Parts: sequence; C-alpha cells; structure tokens
Amino acid sequence: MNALGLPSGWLAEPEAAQSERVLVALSGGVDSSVAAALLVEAGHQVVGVWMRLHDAADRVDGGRKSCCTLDAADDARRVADQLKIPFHIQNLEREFADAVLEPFVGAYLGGETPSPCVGCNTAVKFGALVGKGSALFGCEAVATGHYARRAVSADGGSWRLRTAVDRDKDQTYFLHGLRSDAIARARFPLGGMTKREVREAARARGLPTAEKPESQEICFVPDGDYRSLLRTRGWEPQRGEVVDEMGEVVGTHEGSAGFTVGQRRGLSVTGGAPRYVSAIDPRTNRITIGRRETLERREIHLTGAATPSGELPAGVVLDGAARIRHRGVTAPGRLVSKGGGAATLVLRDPLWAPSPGQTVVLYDGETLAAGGQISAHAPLHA
Amino acid sequence: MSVARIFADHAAGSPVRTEVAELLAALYRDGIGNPNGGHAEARRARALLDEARASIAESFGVESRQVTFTGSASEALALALSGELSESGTRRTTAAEHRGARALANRHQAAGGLVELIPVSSSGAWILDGLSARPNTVGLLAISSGELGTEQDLAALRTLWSESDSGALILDAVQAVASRSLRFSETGATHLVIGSAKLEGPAGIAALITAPDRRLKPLVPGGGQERGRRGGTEAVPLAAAFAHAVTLAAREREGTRQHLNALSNAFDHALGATEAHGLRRTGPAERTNRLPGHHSYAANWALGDDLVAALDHAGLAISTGSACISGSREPSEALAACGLSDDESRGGIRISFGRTNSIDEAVRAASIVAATCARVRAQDLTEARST
Repeated sequence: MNALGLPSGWLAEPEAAQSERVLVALSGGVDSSVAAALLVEAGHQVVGVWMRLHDAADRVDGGRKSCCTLDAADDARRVADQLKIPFHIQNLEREFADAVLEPFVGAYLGGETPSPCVGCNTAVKFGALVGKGSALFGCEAVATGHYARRAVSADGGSWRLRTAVDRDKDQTYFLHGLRSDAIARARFPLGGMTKREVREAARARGLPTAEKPESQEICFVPDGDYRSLLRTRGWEPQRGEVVDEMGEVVGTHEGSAGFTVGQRRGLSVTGGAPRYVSAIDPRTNRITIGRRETLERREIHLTGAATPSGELPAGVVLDGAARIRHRGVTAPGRLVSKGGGAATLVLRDPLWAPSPGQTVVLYDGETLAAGGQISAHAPLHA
Repeated sequence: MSVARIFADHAAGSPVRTEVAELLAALYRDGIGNPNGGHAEARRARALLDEARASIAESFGVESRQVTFTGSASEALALALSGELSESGTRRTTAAEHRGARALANRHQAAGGLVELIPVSSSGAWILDGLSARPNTVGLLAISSGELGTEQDLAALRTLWSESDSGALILDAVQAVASRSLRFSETGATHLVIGSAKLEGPAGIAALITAPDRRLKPLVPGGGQERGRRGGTEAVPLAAAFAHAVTLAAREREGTRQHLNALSNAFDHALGATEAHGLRRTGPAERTNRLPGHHSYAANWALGDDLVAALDHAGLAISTGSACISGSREPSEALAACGLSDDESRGGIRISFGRTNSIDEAVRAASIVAATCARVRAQDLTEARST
C-alpha cells in the first residue's frame, strides 16, 4: 500500500492531458451540475444529457426531490444553458426497464432486496448511455456527479474504482458493477471534493441547482413505497406466517415481498427483546425472525462475484475490507471464489444482517477490488 | 474551424423574416398597444389591426369580419370546434393529424361523442372512397400534413362535405399556405385555420376564417374583443406582422415553391438511395404530392429523437415532425396510421427546407444525414446494454 492508499502496482488516475469530448449525465441536481461545470472549465467539449428512464417523469409533481421528473429535466436544461453546452433528452426507458425495473420487481417477489442503483450505473449510465454518447455525439467518455475516483494499473491497461475523498459521500459501492473498460471511459469530476465544496462551487458559479436538496429515494418509486409499485406489477399480498428460529409460529405478516432481512418495522410480534427479519422464503410466504445477535454473519455467500477484469475464476482468493451496505462499516475478510460467479466471503469480525440481493464489495486499500451479490444460499459446489 | 449550422426545421416554424422583424420592432418602438380606447393612440392601434385583418381577408378572398385573430393555430382549431360540435355530433378526422387536433378529437370522444377516423394511405393521403355524407358531422383535417408532407386532394373532400346537410368542415391550412394559394370559398371549408410562424411571421398569432353563417362560441369570454369571439387585448403588432408575412409569402409564392423544389431535388440527388442509409421514406413518394422542401423518413434502428440529437450535434437542425413530450418513446400515431411498424413509428424524422436555405445547404444537409446515419448505425445502440 502506498501513501495514497493505493495497492502496489496501482496509480491515481492521471489528469486528462488534452481536451476530450465528454457526455455528462445531468440529473438536474447539484452534483452533476458541478461535474459539468468543472469539465467545461477544464476545456473539455461537453454534451449534457438528461435521461428519461421511466414514465414516473410524467406522473410526479415537481415538488418532489426525485431526479427523474420533468422539473428535474428543466433544471438540467437551465444548467446546460448557463454552461453554454448542448443539451439533449435521451430516452433509455427500455434499457432501464430491462436492467433495473424488471430485476427490481423480480428480486422482491423472490424474497430478495434489490440494489437498483447498481444495475442502473452498470447497464444504463455506464452501459447504454456510453454507447449512445459515442454513436450520437462522438463522445469518448461519460461523466456523472458520482463521488468516486479511479485508479489505473502501472501499465495503464487496467482500471479500478477508488473511493472518493469525501468518505461520507463515497458511491463506489453502487458503481461496483463497472468493468475496467467502463471505468476507463467514466469520468468522476467530484471524486476529489467534499459535498460541502461541491455546494460552494455551485454557489460560486451561480448554478440554478446550487441549493437543491439531496434526492434519497429510489427515483422510480417517488412516493417512497415500493410495495405500491409491486402491486402495479401484479403482486397480490398474501397473509403469511412469521416464525422464530425454532420454527414456531409467532405471528403473521401481510405479504413477504414487503420485507427485507434486518427489518424490524411492520412485524406484528409483541413482547420480549426486539426481533428482526432474518430470512424470507417466498415459496412458503414465510418470514423468519430472530434476536439481533442471530443476524450476525461471519460467512456470506455471493453470486455474480467479479473483479473489474471480469468474473472470478475458481480458486482465486482475495483479501480486503468488505462492505455490505452503502455507508456501512467495513470488515476485514477473505473472498474465496468457487467459479461461475459463486464465492464465499469469510469475515474476521461478523457483519450484521446481510440481505440477499444486496451488494457486497471488497476494497483493496482505496481501490474496489471485487464485488458481488449476497445470496441466500451456499454455493452448490462449496 | 466551425462550419455554419443548417436550419432545416421550417415546418416547425421558420425564423421571422427580416422585413417582418423590422416592422414588428418599429411597431413596438412606436408604442403601439391596446386598440380599445377613446384616445388617438388606441385609434391608431385599431387602424393597424383593421388593416391587418383586411389584408389577411383579402388574401383568402373573404370579408374582414370573417377573420378572428387567435394566439395560436391550436387555439383557432379549438375555437372553431367550440361553435360547431355538440356531444351528439360525429367528428371525422384522421389518425395522422397534428397532435393538437388529435387531442381535441380525444376530448370529444371522452365526453361521449363519436369520432370517426378517416383512413389514410401508406403515404398519409385521405381515403375517402366508401365514406358517405352524413349530417351533423364535423370534419377536422389538415390540408397538408406537417409530419408527412402529404398534400391532400381537397376537391374530393369538398364534394363529400357539400353533400352533407349541416356539417362543418374545419381545415387546418397552417402548413399548406406557405406554398399553396388558397381562396376560402374554393376550399369548401366552413372554418379555415392559418398560422403565422410557418410563413416567416412571428409565433403567438394565428387566425380563424369562418363562413359568414357560422357562429363561434368564445373559449375566453371577456371584453368583447374580436367581435365578442375572443376575450383579451389584441396583439396589434403581432397581427400586423402576421399580415405582412402573409402578403410577402403570397407575393413570392411561386418563386419560393420553385426554390424549395430545387432544394429538394438537390437534397435527394445528394442523398441518393434512402435505403443505403437505413432510412425509409415516409409520406408521398412523388414530390408533386408533397409539401415542397419537405422530406420525411423513418429508421427502425434508432429513435427519432436520437437521430435529431445526433444531427443537431453535427450541425443540422431538424425534428421528428411529431410534436411529442421530450424524450418520450411513444410511436408516432401518424406513421403508425400509414402502416409503419412500431420501431419505424418511433424512428421518424423530418427535414423541411425553407425560403432562406441555399442549394449548398441542401447538399451539405444530405451529406450530414448520410454520415450521421452511418455513424449511428455502425454502433448497435442496444449492444451497450450488456456492458
């Protein structure tokens, strides 16, 4: 590990030596506005794009904080006007439905808790949008307002994500699906700044989005209730049993897809110590609950385990610091690949309530070395 | 080196021509304002408004009192309908109409009225065979399609409507008047809608010409302006500029038509076979049946909006031709009505030249279209999804 927190053989990303043609995904929020402004000031040829991802854009009123309303598109356009860059609305509804919306619904119905932002970053922003930027505008890179940095191998042939300077805002967790070639084409102008600095930069430039509040909710669930979305997709909640870890029925619930591992709220179980959802079985519509300590895990099974270079071959062992939720604590651990994307993460200290469907990432120093999805089951070839 | 951009979206609205802009600026500078008042300033404004109305009336062979100024062509269509349509009436229209007209038809249907769609051919032309005249029917149709460039056969329509007893025929002539001389009585219309922006006049003003026996029900009641047909202070400078634009367009119509045809020929020649670029021509194949200077195509490998953006980036300003919500991937109803597939109906573009374009621009526009199509097609836009 060098002084920059980078593993040996890895270097901080170099400054762009010459003017690039960069597509910037403007959400209408402060972060992407500042990212665009910095790129323009650095002399790059910038094309602003607002992505239309779903029809919530037409339904939601502008008082909400989502990045996906027509009001947000107007804000993005105003920023582009101020920066004197071209601006286009790009329709990526089909790509978003395939990569984000359908898997989101499928995950909940399958008893898992999806990470929609991961799919959106991987397949839409740094997938389809890169293709569109290149085909339509000749852009060689796509920039966003994400808080992340990049690291490059000493030979210049491989790229990894590197955590942002602002540790509270670091978004590498949600970007873990990016492969080396996608990272090579990604630009994160805010990676070296704190959120406070970004706000100040927006104010100093008089950007119309300078005081916009953070958007926290899932953009396509603007009312914050994903269950209502599931209902529109055919989910019919069925009352089911809540059992304790001995298998004893201790209560009922109103539909297992409405729960997440680690959840406490909404359990109609009274008395005793607080209890949390520890497992969801969509086939039997049964939820298992347990005391807090019973959700500690030293071993987590993964699917889709991969490094930025691709899927991990069987037998590869990686040591690092693991994280199982955005902004969550990290714990030293060892990832052992079983091949085919299956892997087991063995932790020195336990992590609490890994939720199937959620993301696991493994950091090597400041770089993101690997990631995958938490599985409810041990790999078949363990 | 930056190459000059080419504006080829005249069907959406041409830039205001210099003579009209100068008149407009002069009127604003002179303080022309509200024509309703008992003072010299108001009388001066009133005289200008009367003059504008008389000038437009003369161009279309009607009396001044038959001309009502509105704020847009869409408003003029709605105003025309307001006096004609009862809920029990039938509306005849096509699926290939302008979005504003379709919205009015949908509203009529939602209120329990009957809407009958006149079928269109693969080139967007009305198919009137088999339609019989029926009473209490309101026709709402565009003489020329802004999206497809189709110039319709008015004679057959006129015959059909003249056989009906109490029907109204509302014709949208917004696109047509730029290249076609229209006398109101010859159109067979009971109501004719004309706009300013497509004639190199300012946006924000249009007019409804009505047959003398027709009564209008104001959409905005108010101070009795426009003979009680439309409340609100009249926009006198806009009306004067509109009238001036109509006069100039009429005076130069033949020359403009020839110039636009020359531009179209140059563009077609430079573009070569459309199939080589992955484009399918939409609207009439014969230039004689389409608006001069108007070209429309559909691609099944990209969204129309994407092509518009890519061409914009390459310096060519065009549009999809179907005014839609930005970024929506709804297929164009007009293209679907012509029998195009779903993908093609999402991939429509329109290139429309105007009087101010040069032959060199038409040739350059063709090479930009060719190069952009080649670049976009080279990268399968769906492939990136699996990255």
